[in-house]
Amino acid sequence: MITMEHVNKTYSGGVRAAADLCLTVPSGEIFGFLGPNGAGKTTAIKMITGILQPDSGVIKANGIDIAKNPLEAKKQIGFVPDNPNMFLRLQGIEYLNFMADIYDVPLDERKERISELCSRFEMEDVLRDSLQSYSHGMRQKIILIGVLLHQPSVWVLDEPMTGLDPRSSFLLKTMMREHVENGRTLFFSTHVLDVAEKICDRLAIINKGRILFTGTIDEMREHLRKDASLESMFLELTDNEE
Amino acid sequence: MKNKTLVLTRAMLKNGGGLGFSLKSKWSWALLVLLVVWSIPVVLYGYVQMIAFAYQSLAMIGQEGVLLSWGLVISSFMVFFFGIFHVLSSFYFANDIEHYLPMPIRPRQIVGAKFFVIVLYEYLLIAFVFLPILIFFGIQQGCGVLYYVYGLIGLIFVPILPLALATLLVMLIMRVTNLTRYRELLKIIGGTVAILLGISISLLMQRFADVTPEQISELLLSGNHSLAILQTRVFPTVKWAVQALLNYEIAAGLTNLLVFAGLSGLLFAALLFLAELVYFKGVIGISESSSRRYAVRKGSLDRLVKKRSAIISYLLLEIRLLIRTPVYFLNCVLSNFLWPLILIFSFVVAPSDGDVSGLLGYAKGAINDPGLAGIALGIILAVFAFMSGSNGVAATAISREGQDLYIKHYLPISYRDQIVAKLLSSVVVGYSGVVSLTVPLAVLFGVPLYFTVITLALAFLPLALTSMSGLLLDLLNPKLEWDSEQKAVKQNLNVVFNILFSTVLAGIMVAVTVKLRLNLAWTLVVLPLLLLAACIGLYRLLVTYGVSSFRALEG
Ligand SMILES: Nc1ncnc2c1ncn2[C@@H]1O[C@H](COP(=O)(O)OP(=O)(O)OP(=O)(O)O)[C@@H](O)[C@H]1O
Ligand SMILES: [Mg+2]
Repeated sequence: MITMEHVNKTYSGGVRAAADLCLTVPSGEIFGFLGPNGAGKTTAIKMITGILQPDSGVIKANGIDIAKNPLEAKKQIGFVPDNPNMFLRLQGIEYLNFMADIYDVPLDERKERISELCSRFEMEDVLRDSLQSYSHGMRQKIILIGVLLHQPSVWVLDEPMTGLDPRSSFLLKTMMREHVENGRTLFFSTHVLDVAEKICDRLAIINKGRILFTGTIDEMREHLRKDASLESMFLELTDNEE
Repeated sequence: MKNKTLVLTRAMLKNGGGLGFSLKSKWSWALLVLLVVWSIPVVLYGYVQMIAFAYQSLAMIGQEGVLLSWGLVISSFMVFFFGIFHVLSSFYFANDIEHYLPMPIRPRQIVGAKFFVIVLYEYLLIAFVFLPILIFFGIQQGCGVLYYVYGLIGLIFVPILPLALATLLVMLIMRVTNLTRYRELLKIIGGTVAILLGISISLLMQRFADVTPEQISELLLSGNHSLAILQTRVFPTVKWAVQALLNYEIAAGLTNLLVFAGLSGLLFAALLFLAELVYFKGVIGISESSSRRYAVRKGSLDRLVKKRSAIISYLLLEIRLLIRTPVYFLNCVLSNFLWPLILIFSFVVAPSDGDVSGLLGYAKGAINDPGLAGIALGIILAVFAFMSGSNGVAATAISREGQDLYIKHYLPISYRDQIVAKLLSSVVVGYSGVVSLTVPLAVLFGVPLYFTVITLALAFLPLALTSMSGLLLDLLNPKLEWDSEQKAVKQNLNVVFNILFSTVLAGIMVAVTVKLRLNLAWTLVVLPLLLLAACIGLYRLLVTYGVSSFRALEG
């Protein structure tokens, strides 16, 4: 479970990227975070994962306050950033070993997880190559594998679908579903509305640092009193805002 | 039509390939200004004293003109030496090349533009080395305005020859190393070879420039300033520049100046011609990396999976990045082994008679003499402090993270542990340099074993101290906004600051042992205690201020 209470963040340039954010992401559901470019999705995710410190407010992962007990909170989370271009000079296997060391995954468990995940994502053949030689999608896959090694109970993904081929994207969606079916938490941002409509159990819409709506798609239809597609509701919600 | 080379040059300068240092806080600006204001007059004063001394000595034998050629030769030397580093990183290891490759630009235009950018850097160096000499000589000889005009024009052309030589050397080596699959590795080896070759050429040229007493007396008899010309055998074109300056009052001066400028221009044209042939072939493929693509079988995957503690794993990551990133390797790692190499090389290359063997004998005596051994130890540890302080591993440890710094915020490893791992990486790199310097020299000088062991054991202290100071500096004001790795390590003021710190530290260490005339036993007590106390102090700063500023960095 993730909770954000009255979280504010203003960048040094003066942009208010989070305005009194209150959000509860329950476990056992796929939670989508939607909003136009520059809405503040990445900013919120960065505060949840401990990259940015909010100006005010409280953020907890599984009840652990990220500000008070950062290491414990970070261990709960598996984070997939929007940009997979990292650790490019490492070989795939070196990266996986590094992540497992940092998240303190026991040896037997990591052997099992690495071979299982790599075969699911069809990455066994390239483990000895440097990430530099991977394609965009392959980089995304290896990062995903690294994040899943410690079986995080809270999984946070920033724009995970872009760049994946249909098979990998289907695989990811399956894994996301499996993840929440085990009673764990999943929070991801996207602006691909088709994906959101299909897989999200619940979603939040954010624009200009403010949360405009939280709930299921059906609740959104009730809220707007119309039976429309997510796309037209999204456009309406983010457009009216001035 | 606009000249593309000039357009490119402007773009490169704007993109921070130029002279600009980026300083975020006002404090570091203030510190820099203070440093410059404070140190330049001091250094300049010492330098002018040296020039005056050399001038007077030369004037006694009527050969003042030698001073000018020395100035020009030394400037050319430095341009050549530093040029190899600059050319390597800016022609071959900079990311911006990838942007230019798809543009409709000719190789010679890229090379020309990059050459200009480096030349601008070298002017700073030359101005500092040569301008004082030019002015001093001019005043002493009461030269006219034309002399200074010629001097400035000459100055413009001085870096062309040595830099063109450095570029040629690097371009040829890079062309050759680009032929196989293992390019990135070979680029690193190629860079190393280029630097070593540069060093050996410089040293060999020095030897070549040695003249016999007969030659000197012959030249002395043949009249004023003739010795000046002899000195320029190493960089032949400098000869015309010197002639131009010495004869500025007559037509011969102008002719010589024109010849000098013309030759430099010709050389530059030749360089561009060659660039057209070899540059792209050496540079294309620099971002490709070999990929093996073989299935990792079940059994072998198990063997590849290893468990380490988080700090060790982090340390390993740091070291791997240092070794695998060509720019980091050349600037931070290789530079550690450069000093040992230069030292050992100069012993091997230098004539075996006279100075060197005398020095060897003296050093041997000092280490074995209990009265002097303490001082020797102090000096050696001071050298280590300087070596490790100037390698930049610690002073760029945060800057090197660049835009990826955010990763280090979400990983569940405490900032203190990250700081410790980064310190360890600097100590490991520094220590390998120390070992590679100490062991060969110990053999060469016949140093007693116990002394070598003591030296190697105590080496940890100055290394740890200068690593901590570097890391602290970088934590307080890291340079995180860069698009090519070379900007993280070169043009990083934290390296300069840490060099200054380690110089001062080295000075204090020497002063303590020399002034107190400590014997070996006392040195073994006093120096480690001092260093340890400083280490503990800096470590406390690192885990308090260092950690909190690490946490606050937004990457
Ligand atoms: N480092 C920063 N410094 C200053 N302003 C920033 C910074 N990062 C983001 N912003 C601003 O904060 C706002 C929110 O940005 P954020 O990256 O959170 O948007 P986003 O919803 O993730 O957008 P996208 O869909 O494009 O990824 C934007 O207006 C952006 O300009
Ligand atoms: Mg975003």
